[in-house]
Amino acid sequence: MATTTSTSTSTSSGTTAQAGPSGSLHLDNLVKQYPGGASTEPAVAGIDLDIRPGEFLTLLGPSGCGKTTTLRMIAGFETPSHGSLTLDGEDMVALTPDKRPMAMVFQSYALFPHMSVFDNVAYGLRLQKLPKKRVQEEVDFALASMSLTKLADRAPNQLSGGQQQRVALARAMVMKPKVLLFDEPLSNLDAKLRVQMRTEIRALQHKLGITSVYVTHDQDEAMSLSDRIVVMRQGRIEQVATPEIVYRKPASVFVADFIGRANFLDTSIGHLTLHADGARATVRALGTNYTVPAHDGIDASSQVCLMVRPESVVLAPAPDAREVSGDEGRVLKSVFYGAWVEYEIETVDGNVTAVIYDPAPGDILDHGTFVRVSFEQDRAWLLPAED
Amino acid sequence: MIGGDFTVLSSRAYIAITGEYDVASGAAYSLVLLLPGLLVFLVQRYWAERRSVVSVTGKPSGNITLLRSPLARIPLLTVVLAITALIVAIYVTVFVGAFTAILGVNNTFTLANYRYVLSGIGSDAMFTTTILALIATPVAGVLGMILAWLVVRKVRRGRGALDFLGMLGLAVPGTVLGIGYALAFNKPFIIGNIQLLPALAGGGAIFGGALAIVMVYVIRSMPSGQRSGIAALQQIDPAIDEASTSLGASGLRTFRSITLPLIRPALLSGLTYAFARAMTTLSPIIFITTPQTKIMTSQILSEVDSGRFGNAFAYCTILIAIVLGVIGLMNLLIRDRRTPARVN
Ligand SMILES: Nc1ncnc2c1ncn2[C@@H]1O[C@H](COP(=O)(O)OP(=O)(O)O)[C@@H](O)[C@H]1O
Ligand SMILES: [Mg+2]
Repeated sequence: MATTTSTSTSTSSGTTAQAGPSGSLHLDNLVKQYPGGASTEPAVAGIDLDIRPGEFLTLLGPSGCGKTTTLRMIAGFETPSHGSLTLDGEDMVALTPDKRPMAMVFQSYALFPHMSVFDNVAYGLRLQKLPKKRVQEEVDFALASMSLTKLADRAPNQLSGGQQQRVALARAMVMKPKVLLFDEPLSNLDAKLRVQMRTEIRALQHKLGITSVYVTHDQDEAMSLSDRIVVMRQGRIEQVATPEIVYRKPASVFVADFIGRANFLDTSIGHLTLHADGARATVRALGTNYTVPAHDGIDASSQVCLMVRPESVVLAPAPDAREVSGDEGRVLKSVFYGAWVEYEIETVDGNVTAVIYDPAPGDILDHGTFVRVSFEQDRAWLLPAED
Repeated sequence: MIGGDFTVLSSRAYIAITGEYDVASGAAYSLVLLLPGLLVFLVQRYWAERRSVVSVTGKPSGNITLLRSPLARIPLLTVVLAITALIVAIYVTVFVGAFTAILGVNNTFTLANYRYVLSGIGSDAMFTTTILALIATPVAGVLGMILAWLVVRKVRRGRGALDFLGMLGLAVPGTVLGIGYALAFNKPFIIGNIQLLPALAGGGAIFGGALAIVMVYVIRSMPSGQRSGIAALQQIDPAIDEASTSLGASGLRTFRSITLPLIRPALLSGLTYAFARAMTTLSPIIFITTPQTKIMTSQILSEVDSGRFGNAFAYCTILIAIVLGVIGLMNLLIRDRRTPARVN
C-alpha cells in the first residue's frame, strides 16, 4: 500500500514536467452562501487550495459538506459569494462557464440524447470550428482510447451505464482542457465496474497530465485515484494531504473516522518530545506504556485520544488469563472473511476491533477466548480529542 | 347555445351586450363569471403542483394495474363506449347534416349548404379565420415555449406567479376575455395628447379589428404551448445543458443545439393545439368580431341563431377539415426540418 501511494505521487510530478506550467488552479477563501438557503451556515465556508499542474486532487467528505458546490464554483456554474479563483494566474470568476478552459464529467453522464456517440464527442470540437478532418481524427482517437470505436454510431440510450460514462469521459478529454472536473462520475455504476473505471480514469489522466479535481464520498475511490485528498466537513477543509498521510496521520478524529476504520482509545500524555520527524508522546493504553507519533497541535496539557487502526492491533495467546485486565482481553466476536479475520475484543479500554490478515488454518480465535492485546506503536497516532 | 330554458351567466352577458347594448351590465356579469373560473383553476393548479413534486424525482409515477374482474370491466367499458359513441354520433350528425336539406325533417341529399357557405360570406370567413389563426399559432407557440423555459430554467423566485400569468388566457372565461378586449381596445389608447395605440377592436379599428382577434387567439392558445413546454423541459436533466456549456457552448448555442431539438416534439404538439384552439375559439370572439373580419365560429353561431342548421353543419365540416389539414401539414414540415439537422 505504502509503496503504491508514494510512486503515484512521484510520477505525478513527472507528468507535471511534460504538461508544462499550465493548469495550476488557485482557490483563495472561496465562500458560497446560497440565497435564501434554509440554514444560515454557508454551503462552502472559506476554501483555500493550491492545485498543482497535472495533479489529481479529490474532494472527499460526507454528503452535504459542500464538495459539489466547490466544484461548481470552479466550473463556473455557481458564482462565489466571496473569494477568488485563478487558473495559471488568470481570474476565472469573471468568466462564464463556456469561456473557462475546463470540462466537467457529471454523475448523470449528461450525454446529449439526440446525438450519436460520435456527435457527442465531437460537439465541443465542432464549436471550436476545427476543420472536419481534425475533428474526425481527434474524435476517433478519443473513442479508440476509451474502446468505444464500435459504438460510434449508437445513440446514448443504446449503451450501458458504463459505456455511457466512457462516452462522457471521452467527450470531456477530447477537449484537452486545462482542468478536468468530475462530480461523483462512478456512483451510478455497479461495484465491479466502478473499480475498473477508476483504474482507467487514473491511467488516462496520468497519460494526458491534465489537472483534475474529483468529487466523491467514497474513500476507496479517493485513496486509489488521488495524488492528494481534501477532506471536507461542513463547508470547510479538515485536511489536505496524500492518501498515505491522510490515512496514517489524520488531522482530526473526524478524518480518522471517515477514512478507513479506527479504534479510538482514551488516554493521557505522560511525556512529550519533539523529533526531526515530528512529535512523540508516551501514553498508557491497554495496560502498557507506548511511545507513539503525535499530532503537531498537541501540547502536554491537551485532551488527546489514541488512534489505532484495526490492522495494527497485535493478538497473542493468553492461556492463563481468566478475566479482562491489564493487556488481557476477551474475544466477543470473530468473523472470517477469507483473506482476513475480524475480531471484536473486550479490553480495559473498551471494545477494540482487530483485523488479522491471511490467518493460518486453525489459528482463528473463537468467541470467548482470552488474548493478549497490543499494537504496533509506530503505526498508532495521537490526536487532539474531539469535543 | 345549448342553454335551452336555463339562464346561464355567460349567455346573460352575451345578451346584455349584443341584445340590450348594455356593456356595463355585461361586464358585471363577466366579473361574477370570472370568480368561480379562477377559483377552480387555482385549486386545480394546487393539486397538480402537489402531484408534480413526486414525479420530478424521476420515480415511476404509478403502476398500471389491469382490471381483470368483469364486475369492474363491464360497467367501465359501457361508460367508455357510450362516451365514444356520443362523440362519434356528434361528428356523424354534423357530417350528415351538412349534406341534408333539413336534418330530421327533409332528409334529401343536397349540396346547397356548401354552395351557400362557400360563396360570399362563408369563404370570406374561412379565409380570414385560417389566416388569423395561422398568424397567431407560431406567436402563441413561441411565446408559450419561452415562458415555459423561463418558468423551468431561468426564474427561481416567482416562477409560480409567472406560470399563472401565462395560463390566465385559459383560466379566464372566454366571455370575460372577449368583453375585456372589446372594452379595453375599442378606443385609441391616449396618454396626454399622444396616441400610443390606435383602436384595435371593433368595426372602426385598424385592420377591421383583426389585430384584437389575433391577440385573443394568442392569449387563448398560448397556454397549450406553455404546458407542453414545461412538461418537456422538466424531463431534461439540467446537467445536459451544463455539459454543453462546459464544452464551450454559449447559452444561446445550447438552447439551439440541445434544448430546442429535445423539446421539438413538445413544440409541435403545442403548435397543433394552439392552432386547433384558435380556430375553434368562440366565446371571446363574438364580442370583437366585426363586419370586416368574419370569423367562422361566430358565423356558425349566427347560422344556428337563425335556425339554418344545415349551413352551420357545413361550416363545421369545413372547420374540421381545415384544422386537420393544417395540423397534418405542420407535422410534415417540422418532421422534415429535423431530419437533415441530424445528419451533419
Ligand atoms: N442550489 C442550492 N440552493 C440552496 N442550497 C443548496 C443548493 N445546492 C446545495 N445546497 C446546500 O449546500 C450544502 C452543500 O451541498 P453540496 O455542495 O451539494 O454538498 P455535497 O456535494 O458535498 O454533497 C448542502 O447543505 C445543500 O443542501
Ligand atoms: Mg454532491
